Parts: sequence; C-alpha cells; structure tokens
Amino acid sequence: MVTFRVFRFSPEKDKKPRYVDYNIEDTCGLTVLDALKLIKTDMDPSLSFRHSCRSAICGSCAVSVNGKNMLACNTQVDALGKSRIVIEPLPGYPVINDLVVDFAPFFGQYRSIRPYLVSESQPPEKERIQSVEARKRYDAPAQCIMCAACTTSCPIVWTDDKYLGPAALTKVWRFVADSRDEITDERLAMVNNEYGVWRCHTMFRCAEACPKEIDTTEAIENLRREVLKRAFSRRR
Amino acid sequence: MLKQSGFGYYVRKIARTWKETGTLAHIVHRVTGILLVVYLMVHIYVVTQASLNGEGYESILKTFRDPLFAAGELIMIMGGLVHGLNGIRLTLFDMGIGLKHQKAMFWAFMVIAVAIWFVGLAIVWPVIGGG
Amino acid sequence: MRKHDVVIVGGGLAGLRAAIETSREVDTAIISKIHPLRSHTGAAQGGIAAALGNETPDSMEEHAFDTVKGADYLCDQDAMEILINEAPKNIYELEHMGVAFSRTPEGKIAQRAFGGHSKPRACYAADWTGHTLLHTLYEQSLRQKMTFYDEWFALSVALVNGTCAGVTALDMKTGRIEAFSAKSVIFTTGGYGRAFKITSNAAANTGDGLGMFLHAGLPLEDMEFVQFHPTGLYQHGILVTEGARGEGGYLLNDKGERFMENYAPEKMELAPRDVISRAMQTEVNEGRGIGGSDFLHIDLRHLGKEKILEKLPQIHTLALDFVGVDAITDPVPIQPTAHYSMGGLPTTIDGNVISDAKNTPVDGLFAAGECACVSVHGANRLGTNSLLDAVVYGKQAGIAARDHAKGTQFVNFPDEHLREVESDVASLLAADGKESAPKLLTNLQNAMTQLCGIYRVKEDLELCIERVKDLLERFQNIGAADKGRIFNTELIDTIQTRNILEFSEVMAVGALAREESRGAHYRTDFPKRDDKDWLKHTMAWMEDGKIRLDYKPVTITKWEPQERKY
Repeated sequence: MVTFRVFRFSPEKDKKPRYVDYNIEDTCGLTVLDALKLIKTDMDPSLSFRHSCRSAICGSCAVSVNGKNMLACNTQVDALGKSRIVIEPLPGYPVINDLVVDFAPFFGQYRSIRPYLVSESQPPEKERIQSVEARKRYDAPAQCIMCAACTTSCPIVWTDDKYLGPAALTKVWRFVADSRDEITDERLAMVNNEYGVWRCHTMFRCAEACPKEIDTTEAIENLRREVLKRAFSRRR
Repeated sequence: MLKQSGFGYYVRKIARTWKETGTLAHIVHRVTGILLVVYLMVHIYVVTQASLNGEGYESILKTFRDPLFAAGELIMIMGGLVHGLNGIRLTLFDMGIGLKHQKAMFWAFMVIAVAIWFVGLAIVWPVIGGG
Repeated sequence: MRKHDVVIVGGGLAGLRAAIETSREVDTAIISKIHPLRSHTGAAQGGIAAALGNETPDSMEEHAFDTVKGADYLCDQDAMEILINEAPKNIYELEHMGVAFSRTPEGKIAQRAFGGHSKPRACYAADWTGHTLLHTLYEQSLRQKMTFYDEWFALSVALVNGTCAGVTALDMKTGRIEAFSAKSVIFTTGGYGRAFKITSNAAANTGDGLGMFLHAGLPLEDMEFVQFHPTGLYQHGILVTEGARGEGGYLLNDKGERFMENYAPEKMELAPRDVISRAMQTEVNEGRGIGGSDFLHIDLRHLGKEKILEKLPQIHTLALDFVGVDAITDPVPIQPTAHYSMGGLPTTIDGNVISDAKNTPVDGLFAAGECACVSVHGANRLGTNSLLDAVVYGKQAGIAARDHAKGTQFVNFPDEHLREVESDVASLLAADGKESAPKLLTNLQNAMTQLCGIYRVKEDLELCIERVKDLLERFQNIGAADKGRIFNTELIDTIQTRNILEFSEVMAVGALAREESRGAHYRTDFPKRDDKDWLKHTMAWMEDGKIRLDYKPVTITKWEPQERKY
C-alpha cells in the first residue's frame, strides 16, 4: 500500500493549503498520474490537476513529487520506492487550485525573449540547406516541452521574478544554436545581464528536473561562452 | 491565488532538498562565502588596531594563541579551501569543462580540500600547543 | 461580451496555422481549453507527407493515388488534390518558419517510408515531428498580433438564422462564462479518440467541437470511420510511430513470424493502418497473440542501438517508461489503438462548414484539422497525411475566414443564447445525482471498444447503441462533488463526457447503417466494399435526441474505384 499525501488548496474555501492522505492498495504498473486520476475518480472528484497526453510530450502534468519536479505521467509509483509519496504543485508560482499553478510568469518570461526563429533574408524557393551537424547543434534544446519543471526547480526563480529562468534561457540557446536564425547578437545582448545568464548559480537543479533529459545548465553555460566570445572578438 | 515565493519560501523549500549535490555545493558555497567575508572584516580590524595602537594589538595577539581560536582558524582554512576549490569547479563549468560530471567533481574537490587542510593542520598544530 | 473579427476554437496545429493567416489582416483570437503548447499535435511522431523527392524521385500524382487508395476511394478527390499539390510549398514554408526537420547528408529535409505510401515522403524530425511543428507554429504566432484565451473552455456555437454569430466559452481560471462575438469562427477542436478504451489520444481529445455542432443542429460527416493504429503500447495505447516500421521494424506474432506476409505480402509492415490493425486483431483472435494473450510484438532489435537512439529516441524512452521494455534488446508489446477520426465537421474545400448534403455553406463558420471532414482521408487516412491536412486546410480555412470577416459585419450575439448556456452549466454544477462522469465515460469506452471497434457486426452495433442510450439516460442523473467555480476540472470532465456520449451514438448509428466494409469500417456481416450503394458520405444530425442520417455523394476527379490490394 502506498499513501499519497496530496497538497490541497481550494481557493474559494481555504486560506492555507491542506495535506490530505489517500491510500492506494495496488500500485503495480501505476504512474503518478494514474494514481492522481484514481484518487479523483474513486476518492475525491474535487481534486484538480492538469494532464493531457500522458506520454511525456504535452508538458501539462509536471508536479513536485517528494520535493522533486517531474512529470506525473512518466513516473512509475513503484520506481520511487517509497510507501509515502508527497505530491505538491510546482514550486515558485502561485497556486490556482490544488496542483494547478499559474504559469503566467513562466510564459511571460518565454514571450519576452523573442522565442521564434527570425530570418529577414529572402528564403530560397525550397528548404534552407542545413548540414546534419548544424541540425544536431540544437537537437536537444528543440525537444523542450515547456513543462516548467526546470524553471520552477530553480531557487533563484523563487526569490527573483525578473530572472529569465532555465526554460527561457534554453529557448534562447535553441535559436542561437540554429544556423538559420539571424539575430544572434540581439539574443546574446538580451541574456547578457543580471537577469539573464549571469543570474544562474549553476546548481544543476534544472537539468536534473528535466523530464526530457535536456541539459539546461549546459545550455546556459553555452550562452555564457557565446556572450564572452562575441565580447572579446568585437574588442579585437 | 496562493503565493509560493520569497525568501522564507526559499529557505523552507531548499531545506528539503539540500542533499542534492549541486544544491549542497551551492549552500556550502554561500555559507563559506559569508564566513570568509566575516573573517576578512576581523582581519582588517586587527590590522587597523595594529597600526593605531600597539597595546590593543598585543592583547589581540594573545587571543590568537588561544587553542580555541586556533581551532576556529582551522575551520576558516577549510572554508577558504572549500569556497576556492568550488569556485574553480564553477569556473570550469563556465569554460564548458566537466558539466556532465558535476557531482563527481564536487566530491573530488572536497577530497582535495581535506588533503590540503591536513597540511594546514600540521602547520597550525604547534601553535595550538602540540609543540 | 468580447468581440473579435475571427475567433478560432482550438490551439493545435490547424488552429495556429489558421491564426497566422487571419491575424495578418484581421483581429484574431484563439480560444483553447488547454494551453496551445499542450495540444495533441505535439504527440504526432513520424512525419508530415509531401512529395519532395529528397530521398528518391517522387511525384504528386503518386502521392495522390496512394492517398485515394488508402482512403478506399471515399475521399473527395478535389479536396485531396489540393492537399497533395499544396504539400511541398507548405513544407518549405514550415521549414522557413523554423521547424527542426532532420536532414539528409546534403542538408535537405530528410524523408522516411510510411505505411501506404509508395515512396519515402514523410518529412520528419526524429520521432517528434508533431512537437516541433506545434512549437514552431506557436512561436511564429507570437510574432503576430492576436489574443490568446488559454484555458478557456468553449461551450457552444451560436447561430442566428443560419449565420454564425460567435461562441460562448468558460474561463477556467475564474469560472465565468462569456460570449465571443465574431464575424468568422473557425473550429479546430481536434479528434475524438477518447471515446475508446485503448487510444493513442490525449485526455483532451474529447471531440468537443462535435458536441457543440450537434447541439447547434449542424451535421457530422463520416463519423463511423475511426482509425485504429496498429502499434499502441500494450495496455496504454500510447503511440509507437509507424516510422518505427518505416525505419524497418518487424511485426511478430507468438511464433515469431512476420505475420503480415499472410495479409499484405507486397507491402508487409508498411500496408495501410486499417489493413494491419485487422491483421493483428485476426492474429489475436486466432490465438497467435504473444503467449496466447491479446498483444503482439514490434521488433526493432535488428535496427541496432545507434539507429534506434538517433531516429526513434522517443519510442525508446516511452517503451522503457511505460512497459519497462528496452527496444534495443527486446521486442516491444503492442496492440491496436484508436488513433484518428476521419469523420467530423463537414466542410467545403475552403474550410467553410456545410449544413446539409447539398453542400449549403453556413455563413461565417469554418473548420479544419482532425475535427473537420473535408474529406481528404475518406475511409482510412495514410500516416503523415494528418499533419499535412492540419497545415494545408488550417491555412485554407484561415484565408477563407479572413476574407469573410473583411467583407461582412458583426451579427448581434443573441443574449438568450448566453443565458441558456449559463443556466446549463449552473445546473451541472448544482446537480446532486448519483452518477459520476468518469464512470459513465469508462462504461462508454468499454462499449465502444468491444462493440464498435476494429471488427463490427449488426448485433454488436445494436447493443452498442442501446448501451450509449442507456448511458445518456444515466447522465441525466449526474452529480457534482465540486461546486467551486475556479479551475473546476470535474465540471470540465462532465461537459466533455456529455460531448463524447452524444457523438458516440452518431458513430454507432452510422456504423450500423453502413452495410459494407470500407477502409477502417469493417463489418464482418458485410465484408465486401459496395461501391454501388455505399460510395457516399454519411451525414448525421441530432434532432430531438434522435439521430437522423442522410448521404452525400463522393467527388471523383481522376481516380475511379479499383480493387484495393497491398
């Protein structure tokens, strides 16, 4: 038997969060998301959480499980090896209802970094040619599912709402690393400040939280080096 | 909506996940950093005293020979080593070196810190009264 | 009351593509019940089709013929030709927008083989093609001026004298219901796979647009055609891309035989999905499932570690996480999974919704993507044609909706419509019956899977309709445990369940009426295709709680029906 201690907060009733225990007898083959769904259908229909694809690609169901951020859908309960599992909303952002947090700050930072490929030059009639190696350079960051597990695991984000955070910075790296993007200088200037790459304390919490195994810390470090490279080459 | 941010939140949350190597390194780095700043201030105070009046300087020197103070000095050496070596670790990351082995690197640098510390101990030992 | 020239309901690939087109010239809003980046487009894996000829010489004629044959001749060929001919241009456009396509050694867009296609023409990004398409289009949409209503749940479409006046939607964050007045409304609400127990579809794929249409007295087309994808992870239904077979994977039965040689000797594992799913069901029914059970194997081992990790990384992780199998060293257990809805909201080739079998357009109402039925996929869709459909027809509908909005005035939004919707939701919130939506849904999914699945027969379908009617009856006795307004997911589940129950009846009624076997619709009591009586589209309305059927002819341009063999 596994006890799920779930963070509950009903905005219309509660002033403070409550923790409610739910027991599930047989957790064999059950994911954390399955467990949450089971709690909702069989024990308490008022439990609110986000979920959709249940195959680790839509990024809806990131929650904090025993203090670590992960996707509920691809985490096997038995693999956690605990008889008591604490499920809480992602840290750092305001809670709307139970496990549902407000992502407005997250998508706000994302939108602020011009998160799209910019190429003002006339494109060829067919596809742009890009070598296999050049494509590989942004392969990992392009797989980001924007689940916010990384950004909300970062203690800097909890205390400084101006910090761009690992997800937005990884997105910047995705475009800096793409040979088709033409505003590299602008992008590097955007992150070359106290709210960009230099705010990172290299704690690796983001990279460890990423359910797609994207090395977000490395992405930030890559950006730092690009910023410095540009700065020095301009001086010469 | 229920707020989940601020310094108090930071302390409470990080207290639950301090065992993660990267997080531990961060905490250790911050704590040693603060210690070193305090030590530096004391150091500046002492030097100032020395240059202003000789008597006060003599009495301060006496406390330095106190074994308890020497033990504190040993802790300071450890703090400096840990902070400095972890600083090197972080600089290496900035250079793109060792990102995939951050945990191993932390512990390796800590082993080096302990090794150097023992050398420091050998030097300080006579002062504490060993010799 | 909110006012926008164009309101798009649904933020997936089709919706975003339409929005990029409309927002260039008119005020556009996207209403989406989940954040657009959470849309199920992201789960598409294998690729998007276009006859680019980057790997081997290819032509649009071949792509078109493959599609018609795959569709078992039920697609409207004029619509299908637009799809195929516009494909290359659209793919290049996507590449220019920043889609992370994998590359050939010369640096062109890489293409792989796919079921039913005679040439390798699936343009792909490893096995996360849908993900990069969705993210890229969302990113590009942020460059333009448009309003996003994320986590607003659309509830109804308002018609005034046959003209679309707008929609109503519930703001999940506050629980408030608002009317959206619009000159043009585009529905891009996605598929309806959640009517089945084993499905590759996301929890959000509840076909809400279909429910709204039925309530507005509008018809649904070809609802009986539901595609079962051959390779869903056993017991989860999670998609294992056809690209896995495109890259050379084998399907094996209990004896370790590549059983497809008995069903499609020429195409083998790359036959269309309906053919393979039936073959798999037959293998299982005849006791050749693995260990006599109800699953089979897909074997990727001979591809080698390097190729699996480079071309199918997601499949490798999904198999590890969900069934605990390492595809590099072991075959992966799979079973057919409800995957794609060929049917949906009937439209013209401009994406304009029609209200009857005579193609009478509904002024100001458009649809595109999986929720729509143009029909380009007919009775069975070929893999990689759906992403193409969403892009090409998303754009078509966007252009048509934009032009319509530019040449017309707002229709007054009927206040009584908003009040009706509000009182409906209030009554669902106040309900204190004994039934719960998730339980009704589970019952429905079991019934649909068992009785209206891969193989269908009169008796089963009749029983299925009876069950669905019973569940609809039981829905009247629904209860709400959560009375809150703010992010009440129980309420959303309840409304979604009602939508599914309603269009599921249409599916079963259409399947019972169609006494032939064509594409994904297979009747064991009528195993032959019948072009004389059934080369036509089903149109279905809900009138006073009953389903009324009518039929619409199929448009044939170049390709006369032939026998379909692989």
